[in-house]
Amino acid sequence: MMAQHPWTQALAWSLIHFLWQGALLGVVAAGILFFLRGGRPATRYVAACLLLGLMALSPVATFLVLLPKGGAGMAVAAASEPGLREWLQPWLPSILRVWAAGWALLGLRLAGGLWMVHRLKTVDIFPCPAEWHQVLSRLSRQLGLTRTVRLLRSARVEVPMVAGWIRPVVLLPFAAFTQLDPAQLEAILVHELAHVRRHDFLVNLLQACIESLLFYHPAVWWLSSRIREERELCCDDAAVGLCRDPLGYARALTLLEGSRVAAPQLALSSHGGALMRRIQRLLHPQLLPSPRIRGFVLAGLALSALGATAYTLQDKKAEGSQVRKEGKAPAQESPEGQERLKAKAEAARAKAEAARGKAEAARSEAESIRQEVEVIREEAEKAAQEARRFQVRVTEKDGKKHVTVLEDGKVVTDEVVEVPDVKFTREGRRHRIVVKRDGKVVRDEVFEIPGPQAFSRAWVWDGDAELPEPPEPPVPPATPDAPPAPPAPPATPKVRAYSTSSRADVDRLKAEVQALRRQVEELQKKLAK
Amino acid sequence: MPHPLPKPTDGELAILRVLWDRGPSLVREVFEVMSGERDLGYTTVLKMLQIMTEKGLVTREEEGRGHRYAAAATEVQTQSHLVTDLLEKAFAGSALQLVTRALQSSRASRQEMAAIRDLLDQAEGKGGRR
Repeated sequence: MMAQHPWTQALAWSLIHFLWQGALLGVVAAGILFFLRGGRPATRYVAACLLLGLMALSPVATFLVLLPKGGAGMAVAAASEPGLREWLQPWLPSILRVWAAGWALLGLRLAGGLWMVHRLKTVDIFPCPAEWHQVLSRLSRQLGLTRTVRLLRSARVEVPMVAGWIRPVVLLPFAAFTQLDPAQLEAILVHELAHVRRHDFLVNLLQACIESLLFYHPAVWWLSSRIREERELCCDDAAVGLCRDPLGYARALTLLEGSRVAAPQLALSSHGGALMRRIQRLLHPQLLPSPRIRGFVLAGLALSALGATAYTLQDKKAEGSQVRKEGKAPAQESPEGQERLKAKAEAARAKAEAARGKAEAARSEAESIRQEVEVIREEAEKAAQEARRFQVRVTEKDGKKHVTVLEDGKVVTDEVVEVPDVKFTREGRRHRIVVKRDGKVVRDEVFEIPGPQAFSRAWVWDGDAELPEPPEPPVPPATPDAPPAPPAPPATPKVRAYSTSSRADVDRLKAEVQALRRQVEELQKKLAK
Repeated sequence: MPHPLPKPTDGELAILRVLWDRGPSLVREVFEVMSGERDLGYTTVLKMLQIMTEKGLVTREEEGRGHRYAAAATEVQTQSHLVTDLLEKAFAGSALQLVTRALQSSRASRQEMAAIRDLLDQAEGKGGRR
């Protein structure tokens, strides 16, 4: 069944609620328009458009608010008070059907209208005299229009009109060229171009859409027609503003009206007098306020709005008190139905309780976490403060390094760090190390890097290296009769330089050394005899 | 754009239907068919056919002493023309509401027009310009 689906219920209730919302907004609109009656039509136009937009949005808002509550909410509401809601409940599907049918019909009419507009632009059209195209482009530029507007004569239209938004076309009846003089026709063209500049076609289309959706509320139609009236006044002002001839423009309107097919007397609609008002406003702008609001319409709207709001508020209050009085079971109605509804209400309430409990737990957890974070932050603050109090400085005094620790600017410790002073000196092959501490010499050593002779005997080198002096043979004592001193052994024979690479040389050298040693031994033997 | 075919009235539609059924026919033949349905005289039918020829709904050729009349447009063409016309009438109101016009659809009555003209003459008589 359609009624059980939650969103259809919400939709139906939104439409029903719009009855009082629309009335309320209508009263507000009437009040605002009345308050603005002395001002410019442009202000009223904008106010009326905004209010119509609000009217269009209010059922949407109601729908979104009602949707989450869904069917359960409706059931609870119905159980609380045997009143309008319960009475309406079974009608909801029919309400939706009627609304859908009406909306479809009006939408179809709107679509047909758009098709007809297209035909007006394309069928039975004739070009206009060439100079008027230039006039049109001049007027477009003066008004600041960017879109190109076409100008056409049409056999089908009775009054000048503008059709289209993206590619607008000004359609003029044949009478426009025969009845009006150029200045008047220019004023009419400015009126139409003003419509183009204000994107009135688009706004009008939106109005038509809103009308087809919310067709059942008279306030919507009323506000929509007010918007159209104010729109014409705005463009009248634009036409007069550019042409500076309100009388000529008024006469142009009158001539055009006169050229239409003569109206039967019965055709005086509720807008009767619209032209009269416009003419009066053009001729005596200071005297005439904006179109009056019908007194009884206003009263009717006010009453309905007040009644509906009062009913809604009272209904809510009764609902609240009923929920409180849940303990006493109402004894009327079928107990079965009541039991079922009560069970549903209980289940809903239990769920609400559980959800509330969970929310509480989450909230207390969040609290404790927040407290912990606070504590941690405090401790970090303290540590930072502590760190800021201590300072360490390293200075050099008298060749000594001092390490100073300061707390709050006061010296806590002052240590002298001993860095030993080490000096290396080199004198030839001698290396000297001097280690000083606190200025006192702690170590003073000399190292001699050993020369070549410390190394192995096979070491032969060339060049200028020194050789150790062999030990001198002892000098024989001088005796008188001694045979003449043997000739002093020959001076140490200088060792000839040999290269180390040749083994033969090394052997030869060895042999020579052997020979020399034998000579030395013989001489020693001789001397010992 | 070419002139559209004029819309036939009810009586003209009846004659056209006969012509569509029978093809091009003489006045007498049309009269014979139609006298069964309506109470029309021969001269009435003749007059109507002549008016329709002027309007362009039928064409005629000389044949002997009389003329043979033929429908200018086929049945389908005329029907679609009528349907379009009907739709245009149906949606004309909606269309006029959608376009932005210099004057609204509610027409001023004769008294109103007179009052407005008086106003204008007064304003002009005073020297008119604001």
